[in-house]
Amino acid sequence: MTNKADTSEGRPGLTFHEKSLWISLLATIVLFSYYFWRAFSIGSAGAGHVGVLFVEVVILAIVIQIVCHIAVAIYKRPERTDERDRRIALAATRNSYYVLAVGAWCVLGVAVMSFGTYWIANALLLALVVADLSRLGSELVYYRRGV
Amino acid sequence: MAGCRVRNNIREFRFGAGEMTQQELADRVGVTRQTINAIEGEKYSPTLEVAFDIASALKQPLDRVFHYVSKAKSPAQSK
Repeated sequence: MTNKADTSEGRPGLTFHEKSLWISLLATIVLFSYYFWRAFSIGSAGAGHVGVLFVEVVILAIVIQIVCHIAVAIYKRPERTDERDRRIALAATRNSYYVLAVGAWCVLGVAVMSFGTYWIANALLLALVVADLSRLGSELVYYRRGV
Repeated sequence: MAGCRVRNNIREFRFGAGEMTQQELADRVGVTRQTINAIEGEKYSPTLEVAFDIASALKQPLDRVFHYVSKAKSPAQSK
């Protein structure tokens, strides 16, 4: 017989939403690390090749996320969202805004120093990716430590 | 969380209400079990609406379930 009190008091394991955040975080880190490593080693001379690589990375990121989310959803049904989820999402989005704002200033610096379109585009992409990583990371921290 | 100054007796009242589980309370209030767990653990301060719903589900007045620890003077300091 299940002990009602015991089953209700434990700290809940990872929810579907937290697993979803981990999937997005890891997929973004792995795929975009590879992309930026390739983009910076190839340089602006191979801009066309890097453009194709970018499209491949985005498609791969979408496919990986869909497959992983389906796999997790089979194992654990997604929960409904409530006010705490919304508050965490808002707080994490605020954090990522600050990161994006700093990134935007860095991109402006790259533009002012006349590095060229290739580097400006990649700096902008880097700012967006880092801002998104900070959002995902913030959400995961808030879910565990409280908001 | 360090900034959470809303204390609560949800756990005591749950057990007093026929050992109501966190999931049962969450279902009655319309939030997730994780949110009830976070509120009980004082990692999250609920909105007034959810606080009233929790008190209502536990059949207790709001001020018996939740109490606010003032920044200026905590209950322990006032004794």
